Order: sequence, then structure tokens, then C-alpha cells
Amino acid sequence: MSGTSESRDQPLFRSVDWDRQTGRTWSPAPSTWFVLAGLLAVGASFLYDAVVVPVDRPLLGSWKAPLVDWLLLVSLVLFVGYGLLPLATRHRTRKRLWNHVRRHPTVATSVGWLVVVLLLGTVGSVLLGTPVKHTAIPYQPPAFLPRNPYLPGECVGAVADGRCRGTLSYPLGTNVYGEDLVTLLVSGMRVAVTLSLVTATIIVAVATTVGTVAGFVGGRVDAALTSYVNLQRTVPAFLVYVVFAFLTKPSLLGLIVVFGLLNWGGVANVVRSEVQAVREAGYVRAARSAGAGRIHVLRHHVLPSVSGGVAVATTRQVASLILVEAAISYLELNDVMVRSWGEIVASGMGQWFPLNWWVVAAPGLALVSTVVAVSVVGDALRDVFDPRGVP
Amino acid sequence: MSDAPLLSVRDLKKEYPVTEGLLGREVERVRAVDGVDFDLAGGETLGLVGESGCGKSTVASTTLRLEEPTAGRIRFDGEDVCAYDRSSLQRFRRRAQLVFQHATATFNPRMSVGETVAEPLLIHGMADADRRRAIVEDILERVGLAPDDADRYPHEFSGGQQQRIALARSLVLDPDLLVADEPVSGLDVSVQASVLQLMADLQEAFDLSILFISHDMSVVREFCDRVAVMYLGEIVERGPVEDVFERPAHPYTRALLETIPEIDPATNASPSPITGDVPDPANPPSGCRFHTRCPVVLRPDDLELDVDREHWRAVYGFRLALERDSIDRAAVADRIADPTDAAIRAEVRESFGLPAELGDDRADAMLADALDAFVAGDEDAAVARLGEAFVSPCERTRPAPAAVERDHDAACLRDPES
Amino acid sequence: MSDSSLLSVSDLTVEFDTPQGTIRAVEELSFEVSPGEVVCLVGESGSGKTVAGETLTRLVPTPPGRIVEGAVRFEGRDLTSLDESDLTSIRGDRIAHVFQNPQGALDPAYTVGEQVAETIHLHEDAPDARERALSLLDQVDLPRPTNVAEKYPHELSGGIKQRVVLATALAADPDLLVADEPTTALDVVTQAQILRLLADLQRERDLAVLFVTHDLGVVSQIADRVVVLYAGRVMERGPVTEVLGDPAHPYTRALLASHPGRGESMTPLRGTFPDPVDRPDGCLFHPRCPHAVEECRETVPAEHDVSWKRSAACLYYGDDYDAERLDGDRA
Repeated sequence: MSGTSESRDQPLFRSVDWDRQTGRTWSPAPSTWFVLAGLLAVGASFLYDAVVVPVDRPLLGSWKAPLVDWLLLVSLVLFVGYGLLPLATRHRTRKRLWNHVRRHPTVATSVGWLVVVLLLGTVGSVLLGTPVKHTAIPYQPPAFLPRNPYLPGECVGAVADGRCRGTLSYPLGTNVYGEDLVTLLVSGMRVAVTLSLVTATIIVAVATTVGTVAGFVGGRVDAALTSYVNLQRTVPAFLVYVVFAFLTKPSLLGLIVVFGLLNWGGVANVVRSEVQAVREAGYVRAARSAGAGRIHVLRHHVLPSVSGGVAVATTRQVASLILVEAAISYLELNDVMVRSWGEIVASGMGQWFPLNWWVVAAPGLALVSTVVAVSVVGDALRDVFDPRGVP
Repeated sequence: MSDAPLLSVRDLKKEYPVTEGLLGREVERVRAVDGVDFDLAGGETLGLVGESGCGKSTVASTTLRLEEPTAGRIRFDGEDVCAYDRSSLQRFRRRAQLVFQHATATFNPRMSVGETVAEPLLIHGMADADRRRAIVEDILERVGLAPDDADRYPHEFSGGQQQRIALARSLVLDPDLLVADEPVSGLDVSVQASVLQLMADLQEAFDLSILFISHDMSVVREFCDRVAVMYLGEIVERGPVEDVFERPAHPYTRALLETIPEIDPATNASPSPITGDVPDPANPPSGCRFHTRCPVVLRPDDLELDVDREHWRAVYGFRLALERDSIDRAAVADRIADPTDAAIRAEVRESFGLPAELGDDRADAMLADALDAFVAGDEDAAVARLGEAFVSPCERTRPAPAAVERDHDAACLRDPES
Repeated sequence: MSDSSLLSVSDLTVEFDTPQGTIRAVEELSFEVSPGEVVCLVGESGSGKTVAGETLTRLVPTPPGRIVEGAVRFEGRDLTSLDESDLTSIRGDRIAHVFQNPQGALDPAYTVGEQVAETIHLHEDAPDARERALSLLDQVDLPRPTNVAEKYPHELSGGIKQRVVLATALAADPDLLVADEPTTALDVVTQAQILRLLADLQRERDLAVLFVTHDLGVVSQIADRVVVLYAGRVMERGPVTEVLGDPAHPYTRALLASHPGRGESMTPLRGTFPDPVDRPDGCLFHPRCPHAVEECRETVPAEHDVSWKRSAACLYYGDDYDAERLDGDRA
């Protein structure tokens, strides 16, 4: 009458011999397998490079594999494994993200631009290599555009009305060293990607660990951790980097480490409050009453619900970090060998500015676009993952 | 099937210390459960009823050791639950399940119905996802849903259906004991009926023992075999459902039953509900905890005053209010426009139903003196003046359960016949 | 429509626009409340009873809600066409509302006494508002009104808060009290106390009460007349003794039969509530009715008289069918 059947047959749940069921088996998710495999590959290559390949000889092609690049590889593995791969299995999240992207063209454009930056920054920079100096042809204008006659250097293209015109060999022009701006732009993407991913990885790792411990364990541990976090948040990473650059030498790795280790506090707070909320939730009580231990609760309830907030908070950090790097370059506190967008802009704002406007415009636009795109994507993530948005 | 009960609880206590200050100095103890005994046989349904705050949910959580009891013996299938080691506790968690009140809150909104129902299987080590899926689809059908519903999300279902999902989840480990804490509260009547019917069918099909906790007496009457009535952390009456409902022995049970209006208005006498609120569990009344609200509290055996029972009860109520600090001169004065002494006296008489004459000179004198003291602001003196004559044995002695009839007892000092 | 009625609702239809479609919450709802009378709107989830109660003084937000047709006459004036300023002078003053959750009605930032006094201020110039507030708190049987008046809502229990809300509602001495499930969130004993209080107050002030509830026990305790709703339409109406003692409509019968603990065997009602976006054709109850016939699927039944002052929206009470056939288990 109301839907239950008589026991016409033994129900399946009664067929389980619980006494024989083995206890916990370690069944890691596919993401974890991927990450383990990836890290193993990276680790092996690193060892090979460190031990086998002589110092100062490139590992692959012209790539000398500095430490920063290894960190980038590790971060990429983690990003793809824990960030992108889970979307393949979580249909509902994937659908919601896709729907949101479809419905908001701004978000779609932003995601598109970031994908371009990511791909060109990693793969593209390897293909294009480092920018080559051609001291004879500085300040070539972008294709088909004229340049002011006062600018020095020969002209690669035709000269019309006394003005040098740009060519397609250097579509965006060249800078003071005759380096192709397209290659420079791509190397800037590489720097942006490295900066963002590696710092983000450090922040996410530390913040999630600290936030989860503080939120889950509570009590004195929580009090201690929270006090530390609050203290740490008062330390301005920018100044610390400046001091660090002054004392040793400016470096991208230094910037990454300083920001990574000093800016995770805000994200940790987000994680902590989310963990506290989940800890009290009815479904955690229900799981506990069914015999769940802390590990199960952490893995199946706490961490999945934390991921949304972490993603949102971290993208904000990334956006500000890109700007900070530009500021640091402008202040000439960066490593000039690192060709970031900020560095290109800074070097272009010399005596010839604004005649050599293209040297500033291209990377400047890229900078602005990327920061805006990251912010837009951050907002979109917040809109999608905000629990009030659950249909 | 042995004759021993599946679940046997003796003298269960749970206290919560209330602390203050940095060092956690204990200020008082809330005695949420203060000495509860009951048995639950295999295949039987025992109802636990009482007002909110009487401790019934705490009984549920301590019996299952989701909270550690402060004291007491709990035996499940002959084993001492409090002495369980980790693996035995894990086994207990499989054999005894808890069903919560609002199903929605017990579902993780990010998990599908299938994942939610399968979670207990995963917790207890069933790694084979296909097998879990098969079990889940099978059990969903048995609770009146479709196997496809496993892919949908809990918020897509109505309250009654969510409760069915919760029931499915509680059954998936094939438990022997189900503790249901208000499982149908908050559901529409017609939905409630079908969920109760489902629970009854499931109980019969799978030979479950159910501890059914509810504040709704009608539901308990419908569903349970036996019932225990709780008040402020203690069980005041227990017995077979029909016996307790037809012949309630404890005044609290009687009062509770009176608050259930009959649906058929022809038989509906206007019920006179119990007065007052449930006392603070951190500061429970002495002796019989119900004495502060009991309409038939016992008079002293050696009462020499010749006072009508109703009047005696009225003066007693006044004395209780004084003693428990729930009234003072200032409070009464605020209620009236012109607070003269006479007006205050009149107001007190009226609120407590104190008649002008009690029918006994000494009693009248005592009352008059007490009122004088009260009006003068000296509550202690007023209490003292009312003295031994208006004190009840119920506040001195904590009644032990006394047999009313076979298998039916009530913790009351009164003779059940009266 | 008699002229002596205080409130007269006729053919009220309210719809809501939602992403899933248009929901018809209330359809062709008509009923009256006379001065000093207690009328209960009874129904389960989706019956439209709450929307009906809120629409009376247009508390329903109008998007997404919409009064499609119908009138709500209060003392002769149609509330559906009044402008907002006139409505606000009626709300609270002549028609007061009490809701299920006292939480929402009380501002956590002010003491309870201040809030009652403020309500008095809202409707008249009252220099003695504080005394009147205390007096009101006393009238709702609060044991120590001065004490309670100093407390903030979060310091009080549910039962006490609900009494405070009642006091606030009565502050301006309204003619009609609309109460939507005011005791559902409270436990049995407190519920009984509040209901008794309400009955006393109603008698003392000759207050008309429209009580919206799903609880038949509550209905039997306080109602004079009952209107049974299902999926937005009236199924049955009449004096409470008759409707509950000898229900006419199959839904009312099923509802009573699914009430637990009545000693007779409880019979659950089969099926589920209709999808609000996609309601059945014809009689809204027909998919679940054991006595449904072909015609039930085709036409929406009119309300036929069952007896003096009692009617049921079921074609078995019309001329073509025999109502006694409803007494058997199956048609």
C-alpha cells in the first residue's frame, strides 16, 4: 500500500556478512593516483638533473631547469590533479560551472584569456624560447604602424613619409634591445603563471592544513593557531620582500616564497570557519552515529566543502600578487633577468616614453586583462560555490 | 531468541557541568538524565515521551554512547556497552542506528541520495562501489522510492520522502536496534501516517527493536508496544501502551494525556493544562521533581488543619512560589496600579486562588501572617510561617517506581487507586 | 455574503511565478468570519492556507506573488484594492497577525517590553504605553511581567515569546486576529496553555480569530467553524463538530483516518500531494481518492450542500450521485 514490499526475497542489505568484511581499506581517489604519479615523475626528473646532468648544462633543449621551474611543474601537477581532474567525476559541479560560464559572457572571456595565458605561458614559452637581442633594431613599431622619427635604430620595414613602419616579423614591435615583444609577452605569461600557481599552491597547502586543524581540533590548539595567524596577517609581505631583496638579491623565487609563506592567513580563516560549520552539521552527526571516524568525516565531508571557499580566496590572493609583482618591477626591486610584464613595462618607461608606447601598452594590457580576468573568475567561483546558490 | 532483553539500561545518568571563567570553574551541573531504567526486548517498540527538555534525546545519545554517560549500566545483547573497545564499539555502531528528527539537516547537500544512503556501508569498509550501489537501489525500493532516485539530490524530495531516505540509510547496515528521535515530528499528518506505516512494516519485516522518542502521545499510542514517560530526567511511569493510556497512574502522565485534544469535539472537555514551565534542570525540585506542578500533590499525613484539599493546594502553591523565588513583593506591586499593602494582598490571593477563609482558624492565621510577612518584603519569614502544615512529603522523598499492575509502574507516592 | 460578516473573502485566487513555472497557491477561495467567531483554515503542505492568511492584508510580496482575482472585504472595504498607506493603518490596528515562529516577530536588539510599547505607539499617542505594555503582558498570563519586560527575546523560552507576540498583536485592540500555526513550534503542554490563553482572550475581547493550522486537535479545541483546504481549493466547510465528527469529503475523512492514536486503525493516505506547477485536472483530490470516477477527472466539483451550513466540494453530494456510497471502502 505505501510502497514497501513483503520480503519476497532476501533484501540485498541482509546478504552482507559483516563479520567477514575487512575493516578499512585504503581506497584513494583517482586524483590522488594522478598526483602521486605526477610527483614521482617530476621528482625522478629532478634527481636526474641534479645528479646526472652536469651543472650549467641544459636538461632538455635549452631549458636549464632552475628551481622555480621545478616548483612550477609540481604546482601544475597538483593543480591539474586536485583542481581540474575532480571536475571530470563531479558531474553536478561541472554542470553548474559550465552553466555559469555559458550564461555570463564576461566570465567566459575571462576564462578564455586565462586559458590562453596558461597554455602560452607553459608550452608557448618553451617553443618560443628566451627573447633574442637584436641591438641593431631597437624600437620597431608594431606591424603596419608608424613610429616617431626621433626614435633610434634602423628600420626593418619600409620607411614611408620619413617614418619607419612595422612589419609582421615583429608583430608587436621590439623593445630597446630589439627583442621581439611577442616573445617578451609570452615570457611574461610564463612569469605570471609561475608566480600564480606556485604561490597559490603554497598558500592552499598551508592554509588548508592550518585551517582544518584549527577548525577540527578546536580548543587550545585552535586558539594558538588563530593567534598566530592574526599576528602573521599584520606582517606586510611586500615590505618583507623588499628587505629580503635588499639583503640578498632580488629573485622571483624569493618573491614567491615570501608571499607564499606570509599571505595564507586569510585563506586559513576561510577554511577554519567552513570546517567549524561542517563539524557541527547534522550530516556529520549522522555519519558519526553510523560509526564514522575523524578521517572519514574529514575526507568525505569537511574537505570537499572547503574547496569552494579556498578556490575563491586564493584567486583573490593571486590577483593582488600579480599587481604586486608589477609594482616591485616598477620599483626596480625585481630580478631584471626575469622578464615579467612589470619588468617590460618598467624598462619601457625610460627616456623615450611615450614615443615607444607599444613597449608599455602590450604588457600593460596583458597585466590588466589578467588581473581583471582572475578577479572575474574569482567572483564566478564564489557565485557557483556559495551554498545559498544551491538550487 | 533468548528471553533477555536486547537492550537493558540501569540507572543511566548524564550530567553537564556548567563552567565559568578562564579556568573553567564549575558553577552548577545540569542533570539532564538522572537515573533512568528501561528494557527493550527484541522486536519490540518502546516509546519514550515527555516535554521538550525532559532529557529524552540525551537518553538516546548516551544509550548509543554518542555521548559518554556520567553513570549507569547499558547492556546490549548481553554485552556491557560502556566497556566496549574500539572494534566492539564499531560493531555496536553497526547494530544500533539512530534516526534523527529533521532528515534534511542530516544530509550533506553535496552528496546524492545514493551516496548518502551508501555512506554507512563505506564507513564499515565496503569498498566495492558496485555492490554498494546494488544494495542502495534495492533498499530504496523497499522504502517506497525508485532505484533511479539514487542519482538525485535530497533537496529534490519532500519531507516525507526525505524521512524515507533517512530510514533507508539507517537500515542499510542491517541493524538490530533503531533509536528514532522524533522521526515524524514536523511532517504533515497524512505524510506522518505513511511514514509510520512504513516503519511498522520495516520493523515487522526485519525484526527490528525500536526505541521511539517523541513528544506526541498520539503517535506513541499508535506505534509503540510499551511506553515510558519522562519528566525532567527521570522516568515517572512505564508500562504497556494501552495500560498507561487507559489507566495512567502518575499525575504527570494524566496531565499530559489531558493535553491531547480529542479530534471529535463532542468528547472534548476543555482541558485544564498543567501550569507553569518545566523547572531548570540545573536546579531541579527536591524529592519528586513534579511536585511543583502536580495538581494532586500529597498533603502531610499528620496534617492537623481541617482544610479543604483544593484550598490546601492553593496555599501550597503560594508557598512553593515563595520558596522557589518566583515571586516577590516588587513583582506583584508592578502588576497593579495602586500598590497599597491591601491591594498587594488581594492580588496575591487572587493569583494563587487563595480563598478569604480556609475553614480552619489556625490555617487562616498562618496564611494571614504569611501574607503580612510577604507584604513587608520578607519572603523567608512568610515561608517559615506556613511551615510544616503546608509542606508535602512529595518534596522530601524521591519516589521509587511502584507497581500499578502487572508490568506497569509509576514513580509516585500516591496510592494509584486514589 | 451576509452583511454581518467582519471579513469576507470571495473567489480569491493567488499565483506565484517561479523558475519552475506558475504556481496557483490559492484558487477560488471564499469564506467569511463573523465578529467574535473562530474560523480555522485547515490543510497540510501545499494547501494554500498560509498564503491565504498572508494575502488578507497583502503581506505576500507581489512579485513573485499575484492576486489574480477575488476580493477580501473587511468591514465592507476591499483590501485587495486599497493603497499601501490605508492598508498599513489596518494592519496591526484592526487586523493583527501572529506567526508560527516568534523569532521572526521579535527584534533581538530590543527588550520585550520596549517592543510591546512600541507597537502601542505605532497606532496611537499613548503616554502611558509602558504601563499598558505591562498590563498586556499580564493579560497573556506571563508570571512576572515586569521581569519579562526587561528581557531580550533570546533570553526567553518559545512559549513565553509566543505570549509576548500575542501581547504585541493585541496591543491595538484589533477586531480580527490572523494566527498562522502559532503553536506548532511549541511542545504539547505549552501549546495547550497558549491555546487556552487564546480562547480566554478571544472570549474576553470578543475577538474574531482566523486560525490557520494543520493540527486537527487544535481545530477541535478552539474552532467554531472549519474550512478544509487541499492544494489551494476548499474541500469542505462547516461547524467544527460536524466536520470533525462526521466528515463528508473523502479528503477530510482520509485526513481524520490518518490521525494516529485514535484507537481505530490508522489508515495512511496513499499517493502524494500534487505538484504545484502541474496540478491534476478536475477534482484536485481525485488521484488519491478511493472513490474517484471518470467525471472527477473532468470537472472541478462545485461545493454542494451536505446539510445546513455545511458543504463539500465533491460530486457525490450533488444531485447525480449518492453520498452514501462514500461509506464503503471503494467506489
